Amino acid sequence: MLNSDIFVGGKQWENTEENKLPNNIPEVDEVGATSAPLLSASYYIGDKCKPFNDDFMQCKNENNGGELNCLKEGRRVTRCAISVLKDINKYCFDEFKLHYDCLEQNNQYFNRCRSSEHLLSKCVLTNLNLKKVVPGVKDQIQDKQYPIYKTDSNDIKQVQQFLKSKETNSN
Amino acid sequence: MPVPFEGLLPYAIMTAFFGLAGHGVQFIRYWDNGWKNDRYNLDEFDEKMMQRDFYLTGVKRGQQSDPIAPEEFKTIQQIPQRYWTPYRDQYFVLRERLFRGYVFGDWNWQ
Repeated sequence: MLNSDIFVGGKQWENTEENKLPNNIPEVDEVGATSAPLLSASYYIGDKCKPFNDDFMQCKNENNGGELNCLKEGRRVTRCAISVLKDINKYCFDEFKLHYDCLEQNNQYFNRCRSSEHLLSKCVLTNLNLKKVVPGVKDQIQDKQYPIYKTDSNDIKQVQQFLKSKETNSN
Repeated sequence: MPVPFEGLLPYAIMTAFFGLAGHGVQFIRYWDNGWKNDRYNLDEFDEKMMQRDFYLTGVKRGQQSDPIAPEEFKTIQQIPQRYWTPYRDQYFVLRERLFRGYVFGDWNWQ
């Protein structure tokens, strides 16, 4: 007590929230996925959460940025993203990990990881019925047969290994 | 006229040592990134996301795909440490000159 009164810096630091949010704002869990998994799942999140995202952006446009007015819409966006990530982790965990590991090895460039992306998109389409669509473009780059920027050879190798091990496990 | 191999030995040695230095640094960087390649061409958003990754995983270049972040993540903050001195901003030492941009020519004389 005396120590903390006299000497500056005598306060014992604890990780507790002292300025809590008011009660009228509901609690929401934050998204726990890091950058590469988020980027890998981004188009699927966009596919499923488009109405929530549009709603949030409209609210922001109408409320001059809407930092306080759009909390409810923002929470819906967060919850929707979490639900997609949960589903992907449940049904396509291995494919998902293959893709985001490849992204992480290749500076998070989509063009180097097309083979694992195809694997993931197939799994997501069958299990979650979500599809990657790049907006505003007629020719979807991920569906191109011979893109200018080639897939990383390591990625192709790892996908082949993955498919082989899957076959041997199923037999 | 054929060149005797003794004449080329210094070049071989130079090439070998330059190669060792370059590949050695590259290997150390790869190891330091957690057996991952370097990131490059990063913008502000990428830096921000890498900071967020660090808060979530606790290691440099760590990745995880958990849907929900732990409770502490909501209020996490990083406090940068500074060396303590009773004469902060009073003596004109090289460290302070560097810090204030005197050395590289953007010192504010006002």
